[in-house]
Amino acid sequence: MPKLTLLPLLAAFLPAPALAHPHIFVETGLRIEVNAQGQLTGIEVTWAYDEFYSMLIVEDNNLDPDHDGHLTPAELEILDGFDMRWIEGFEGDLYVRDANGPVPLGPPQKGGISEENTRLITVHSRAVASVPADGLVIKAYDPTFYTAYDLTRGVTVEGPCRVEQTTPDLDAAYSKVDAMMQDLTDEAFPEVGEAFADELRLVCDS
Amino acid sequence: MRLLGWAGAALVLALAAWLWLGGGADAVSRWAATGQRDTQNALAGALRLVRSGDPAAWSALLGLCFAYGFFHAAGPGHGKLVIGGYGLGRDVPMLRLGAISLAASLAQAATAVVLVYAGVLVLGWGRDQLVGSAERWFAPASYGAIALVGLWLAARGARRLWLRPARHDHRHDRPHHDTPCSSCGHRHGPSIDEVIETHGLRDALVLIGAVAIRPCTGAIFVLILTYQMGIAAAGIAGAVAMGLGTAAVTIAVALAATTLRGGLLGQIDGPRAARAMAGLELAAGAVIALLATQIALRLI
Repeated sequence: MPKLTLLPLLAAFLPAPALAHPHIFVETGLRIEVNAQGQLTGIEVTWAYDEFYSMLIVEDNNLDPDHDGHLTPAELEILDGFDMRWIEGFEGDLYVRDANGPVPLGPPQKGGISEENTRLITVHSRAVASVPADGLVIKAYDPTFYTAYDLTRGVTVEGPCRVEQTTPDLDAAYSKVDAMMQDLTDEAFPEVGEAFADELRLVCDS
Repeated sequence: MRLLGWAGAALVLALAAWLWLGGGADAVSRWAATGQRDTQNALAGALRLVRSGDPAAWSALLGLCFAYGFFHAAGPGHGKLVIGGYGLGRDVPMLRLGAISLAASLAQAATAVVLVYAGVLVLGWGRDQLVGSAERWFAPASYGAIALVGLWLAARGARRLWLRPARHDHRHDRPHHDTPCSSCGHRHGPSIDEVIETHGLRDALVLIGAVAIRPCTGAIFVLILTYQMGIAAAGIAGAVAMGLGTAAVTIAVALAATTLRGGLLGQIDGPRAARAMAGLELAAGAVIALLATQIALRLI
């Protein structure tokens, strides 16, 4: 009868927040620094922005007068640090956990900016107050999934550890998004970004 | 005719079941996310080519903008909620609701153009302020307006259900429908007064307005970029193409909703039909109001 079919049908048209799909795509590279004592001391992060977002940033700053997307060293100088002005509550979209919970990361230290085929690429480092590296879990993601990070720029470890990478079950991740969208009792926007993130687990020889 | 109604309704229900139970929504989300990534990267290239004076780049740009609008609309969204809900709840010809969907998407593109050019030229705003205002003010305003549309539908349904339940209601206070009302035994023809039907026009304007209040972020991006690059006309054309891409999806929703309604109500005979129509309107209105209110409150 009508009322029975109405709800599922309308639910199929459910208005999802814009967060349902990412708007910024970032290829991410991580260089994980472990000292001789097997302690994590820092992580260097490379972010390669998609062409469209790079274009928005360049044009916002009124750079690149010929609009070909290629930047001069002086223009790159102006852009240096554009993604380092973090607002309160922004955690740098990088998360490290040990058995006890989150491991705090230091503020970002600028490591340079470049342009590659009209894409902006920035580097920054996060210091860590030496925690045992073995068993640490590292993930790069935006909780709101407005930005999608993948680890296609590679993950390397400097020091006596290696990394085991587990890719997420994307079917499960998308199911989670849909399930959260349908849960209207949820007060806040669903935070689904983590479900799409690769998991990096450090394994160290002791 | 009745068989056709059944078949149409069955098709729509099968589609809803696939989306809802069969993992279809996952597949759509995934496809839309990949499509968006490729589309927006290609968009950057097309904008540069248009800027460089390549006339062939215009068609590429417009095609990409259409694709962007389509992928963006392929997920759930506010336009689909109100168009789908209205199509289920009210007796509205399929073609008219399709035309309303098209007009709403184009009006939404017009909102983006007005917002960006008023913001940039009059207020001297940058991208952050423009997108911020779209998300902070226009999005909740749109959901608020949609919630009011839902309440209004529900109130009309309730009034017909409870205040005038027994009397056979044959006043032309609803938009024209082309299936014969089985309790009166004759087919309504499209007369002049139905064509210029004020209620239908008023409803159409309300629906268009509720959808159009909220400009699409993608259109804002393209409009700002093209303004900065000195190719404003390409940006405005691109915003219209995005609106057409969005319309492709909302028109499909309009077709699905009116088909489902026709199929369901076509099965009901006699005086129960009027009650079923009123009940459907009440239920659709209530669901729209509930969902839109919850989302508006989250956005505030």
